[in-house]
Amino acid sequence: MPNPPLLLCDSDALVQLFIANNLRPLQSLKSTYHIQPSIVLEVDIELRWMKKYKSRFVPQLDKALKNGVLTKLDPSAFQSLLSTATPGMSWGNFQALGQRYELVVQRGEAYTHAAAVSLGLPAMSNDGKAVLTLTGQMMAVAAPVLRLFDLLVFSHDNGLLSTKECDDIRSELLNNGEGLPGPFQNASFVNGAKTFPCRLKSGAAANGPFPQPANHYDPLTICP
Amino acid sequence: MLQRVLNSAGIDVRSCAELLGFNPDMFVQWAANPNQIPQSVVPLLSAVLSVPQSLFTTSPKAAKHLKDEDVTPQIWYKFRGEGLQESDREYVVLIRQIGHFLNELEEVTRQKSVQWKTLFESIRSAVDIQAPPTEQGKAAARIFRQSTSLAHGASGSGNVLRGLLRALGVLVVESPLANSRIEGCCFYVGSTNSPRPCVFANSHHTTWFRRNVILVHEVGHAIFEHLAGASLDFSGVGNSHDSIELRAQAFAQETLIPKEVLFHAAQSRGIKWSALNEYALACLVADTHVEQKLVVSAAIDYGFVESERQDQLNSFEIHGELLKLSDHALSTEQFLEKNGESTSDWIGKRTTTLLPKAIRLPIGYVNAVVDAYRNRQISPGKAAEYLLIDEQELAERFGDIYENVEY
Repeated sequence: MPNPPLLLCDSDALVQLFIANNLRPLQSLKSTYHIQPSIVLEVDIELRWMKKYKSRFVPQLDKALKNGVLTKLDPSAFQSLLSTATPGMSWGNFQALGQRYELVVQRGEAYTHAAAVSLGLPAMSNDGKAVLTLTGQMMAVAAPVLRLFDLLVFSHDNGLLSTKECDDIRSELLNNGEGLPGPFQNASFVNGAKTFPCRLKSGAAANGPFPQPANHYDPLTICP
Repeated sequence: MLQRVLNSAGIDVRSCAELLGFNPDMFVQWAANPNQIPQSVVPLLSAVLSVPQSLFTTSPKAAKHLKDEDVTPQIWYKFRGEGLQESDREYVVLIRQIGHFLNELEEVTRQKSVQWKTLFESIRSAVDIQAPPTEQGKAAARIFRQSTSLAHGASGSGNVLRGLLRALGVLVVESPLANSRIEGCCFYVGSTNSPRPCVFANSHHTTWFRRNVILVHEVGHAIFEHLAGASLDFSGVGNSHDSIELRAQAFAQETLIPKEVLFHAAQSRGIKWSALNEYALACLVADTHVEQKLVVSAAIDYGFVESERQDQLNSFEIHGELLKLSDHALSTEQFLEKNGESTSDWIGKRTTTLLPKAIRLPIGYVNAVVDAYRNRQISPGKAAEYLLIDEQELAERFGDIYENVEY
C-alpha cells in the first residue's frame, strides 16, 4: 500500500510542535515520505484562538500554511481525495459526520476524525480521552491515531531529529505544562522511547505490503 | 451579513468573538465576508445571535436588498434599548450559548424535555385574552399549578421550583450581574427551530425569596410574551400600571403563594392576621418561600389583612427573625459557615473561568454536563467546553475518570 497522501493533524499535537518551535518532523513527512500534514478548517480556527494561549500561534500557523508545511483540507482538497474514499462520500457527508462527532468531542478533533474516517486517512491527535469517548459511543475514529510522540520517536529513529532536539522538545513541553505520554513524563526521551509503543514505523517498499491499520492503536508503516 | 446582525444587536464584534472563543481578527473577517465562515460554526452563531442559518449564506448581492429590520432578531430590539449596557448584551450572548450547549447535550443524552411547549400553549389557549390582566395571570397560574406538582401540597414551592422548571425544559439562570440594572429577564434560547425559554434572575444583592418571585414572574412573561423576543425587568422600577407586568406579577403570586398556601402557612403557625408582627411575618415568608412584599400583597388580596396596613407591614424589619427560621435567608458565607460545606462545592464548581466575564452556571446544567462526562457520553474536553473552564480544571473539580488510562 502506498503512503497515505495526508496526515490530518489536530490542534493539541500541532500546539506542541509550535511550542517547541520545531516543524521539521512535519517537513520530513512531506519531503521524504510524500505525506502532506494537513488540518481541517475547524483546527485552523482553534489554533488561531486557544483558551490558554490566545493568538500566540497565529504567526507560526500562517507561516506553516504559507510555506506548505501544512495545508488546509478545504472543499477542493477534500474533493481531490475522493478517489480513495468510500463510495458515496462527499463534503456534505463529511460535514454531517463532523457535526455528529462534535456533540461528543470538541470541534477540532471532531472534524479531524470525521475527515480521517471519511477519506480513510491517519490522524495525529494527543487527545486519547476523546478517542476513547468516541469509540465508546461506537463512533469510528482515524486508523491509526498518531500521537505527537509517535512522530518524534519515528523522526528520531530515522535520523530526522537528534536526541538533543528530542530532549529539548520534551523539556520545552514540560516547562509549558503540556501533557506527555506516560513513558516520557519522568524519563529522558531515549529512555521513554524504550517503553513507548510507537505507532509509526518506517519500512522498505520492497518488503511490503505492510498490514493496514484497522484500529486507532495499530501501527502504520510508511516508506521513503 | 454577520456584521449587520451584530451592529443591529449592538454587540461589539471583537467582544463577541472572545465570548464565543474565536480569534477576534478572524471574526472581524467573518463579519465582513460571511462566506468565509466554516459550515461547522454556523449552528452556534445562528443559535447565539438568534438568526436563521440561511442568513449566513445570503449572498452579498441579496443582502444589499435587505433592510436592517429584516435581519435584526426580535430579542435584540429589547436588549439594545435604553438603560442597557454592552455588558448586559454580552451576558445574553453567553446565556444563549449555554442554551445552545444544553440543546446539544440533550441530543447526546437523549433527555430532551419540551414539556414547556405543550403546557405554555395549553395555558395560552385556555386563558381569556379579553379578561383583565391580573385575572389572566391568575388563571394561567392555576393551570400551571394543576399541570405540575405544585398543586400537590399547600406549602411553599421555592425548594422545588428550579427543578420543576428544568424538568419542563426551561433554562433557569441565576448569576450576579453587579453593574447591571436588570433584575430579571426572559427570552428564548436555542436555534430558531429548536427554542426553549430561559428565565434569568440577577442574584447580586437579592434574596432567595425575591429570586423565587422574579423567576416565576419571568415564566409568566415567557408564557404570554413568547413573540416579544425578550422581557426585561429592572430593579427599582415599578410597573404596577403596565398590563403586561400586572399579568406576570399576578401569575407569580398565584403560582407561588395562592390562597391555600398562605392560609395553610398561617394556620400551621397559629398566626392571627389581626396580630401580625415581625416574627409572624417572618414565619410566613420562611414557609411560603416568597419575599415579604408578596406575602403582604397576597394577604391583602385574599382578604386576610386590610389594605390600609400594607405600608406598615412592608416596613416591618423581619430579616433578624428570618435568619433564625430559614437557611435561605443566610448569605452564602453564613450558609457555608453554618453547614460546613466547602466554598468550592457550592460556588466554585459552577463558576466559569475561561471567559472575560465569569458567570455562575445553573446547578441542573452543571449536573447534566458532569453526568454526561461521567457516563462517557462526552469527552472531558467537551465537558470543559460546556462548563466554560479548561480541561485541567474539570479534572480538579469533578475528578478525572480517565486517569492513568493510556490509549
